[in-house]
Amino acid sequence: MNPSAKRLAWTGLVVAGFVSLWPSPAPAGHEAVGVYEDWRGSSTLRSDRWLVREDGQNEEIALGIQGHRLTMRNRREGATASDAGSVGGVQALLARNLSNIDRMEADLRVRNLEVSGCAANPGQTLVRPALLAVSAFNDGTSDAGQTGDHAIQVQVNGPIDTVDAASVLTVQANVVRCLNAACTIGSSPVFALGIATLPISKPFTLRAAWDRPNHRFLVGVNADPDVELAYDAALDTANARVPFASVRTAVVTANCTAGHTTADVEVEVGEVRTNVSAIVP
Amino acid sequence: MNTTLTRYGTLMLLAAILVLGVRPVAANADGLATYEDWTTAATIRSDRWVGSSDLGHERLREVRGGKLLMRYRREGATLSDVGATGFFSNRLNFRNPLRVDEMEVELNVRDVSLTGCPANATASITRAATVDLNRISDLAPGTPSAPGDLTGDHIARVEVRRLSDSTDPAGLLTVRALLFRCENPGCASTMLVGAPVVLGQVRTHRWFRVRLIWDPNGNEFRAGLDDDPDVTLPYPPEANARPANNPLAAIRLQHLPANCTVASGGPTAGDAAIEVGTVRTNASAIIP
Repeated sequence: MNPSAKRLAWTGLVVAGFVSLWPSPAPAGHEAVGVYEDWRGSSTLRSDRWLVREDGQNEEIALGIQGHRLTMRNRREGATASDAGSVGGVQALLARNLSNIDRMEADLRVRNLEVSGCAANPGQTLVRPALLAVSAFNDGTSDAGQTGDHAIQVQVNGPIDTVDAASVLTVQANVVRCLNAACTIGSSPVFALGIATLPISKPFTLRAAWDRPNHRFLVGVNADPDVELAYDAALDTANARVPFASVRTAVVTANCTAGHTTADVEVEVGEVRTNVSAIVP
Repeated sequence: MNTTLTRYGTLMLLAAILVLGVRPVAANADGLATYEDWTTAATIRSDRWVGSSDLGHERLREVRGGKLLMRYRREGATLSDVGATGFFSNRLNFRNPLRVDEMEVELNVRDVSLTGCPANATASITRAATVDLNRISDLAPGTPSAPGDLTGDHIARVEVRRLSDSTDPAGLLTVRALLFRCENPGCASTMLVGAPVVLGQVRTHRWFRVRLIWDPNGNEFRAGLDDDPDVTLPYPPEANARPANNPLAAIRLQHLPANCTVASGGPTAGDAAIEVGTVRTNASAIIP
């Protein structure tokens, strides 16, 4: 973990799925974890549990329940007007809990992943098959909206520019601070890289928890031990103004005059677990 | 039908045309050429299309088997039994809407379902498909308008819809053409220009074609269903004071689910799935 500040380029997308549709969070505790969703109680998404948001520009998109799993896919092609910059697309599955979620786990599997980058604009075409995020507190910033809200995000990174048999997924975690009201830009004052390396084709579980009394977040992958991300206790002055918990997929494509780049990801979401007080019966 | 009745029917038709400001004209699809038949790429081409969707639930925009499949499902809010929260869409926009003056789209409604709320006087609305064209604005040239602001823009639409209180047989949808002015930046508030015109009805699992044509010289849009004669959607010349601030040409699915508390049986839901076949436009809009 590196406690120094690291500013991230969000391209207006990564946190754009945060919307103010949830009640204020209750105080966090060390509750047991239970099943929030197993996709068995209904053949369609339950609006009392979920809301779906698409951000950015995706040409193709799919989200639906198939065989007790939720399938999420988004695909976009890059623009061809230049060899500079990139554009992203995000699909977010937002929990609509009636009480606060301070712990979330999701079983995931990558069903398909395609990346085709640009030699003249390398390093910018990528997929993020999963981003698990849970909001926490606000640091007292007086601006409106999400400015000053902090969240924990566990991010699965796919290969960049190309994918082959040796490609793997890497997992990192960030404590994200929103820098504007809509949280289209953010910084990451605390982060942990290299939490795990995963084969693309193997199912995995992500988890993130806010341990408010101890001023830290705990994240993990599969049965691996938790990784701690501690923050300055003085930052926690109030509950997050826009509480949320989400599972997202994201694609980013580089602009490329030689031809359009491509990023495509399809993920299966299995069971989702949260602290039991957040479960919607 | 005897001569008197025939004459009476003709007079009634003419009266209706005068009242509604609508007149049938010859179908005008001869100038159209194929913009998209979903066979030149295995996926949606980004040089031709831009996708987007609103908050909702299940959704789909994918090319499969030489057709575009689209689905959108949205459940309504449960906080009250009054009104509806708004319209929500899954849309596929033409990449260069300013080039599109005419379009014709082959459609097949694969599935449509919607529920209303017995305690809410507002019916749920499902537009299994709409074809939209936004090219003109009545704002005076030079009037400041923020990027994306739809205020003053006029959207011509052909919609394939069903209401939750419809008494039509299951699987039957009504095709209407209409022209409306956007009254606010997001176009959540609109004002009709003339009355909507019913073009006919279509059934699920059957292909049909809808058409939308802009005739700037005639100050009108024209709309049609299959080989039926086009009808006109006239607008006053001042409605075309300048180009639309947020031009668009789009194919979309759209739902307005009525609010409904759980105690009243909520939430309501709108769900529709369509196949989009060949899309034709004026030749100058085509992207090879």
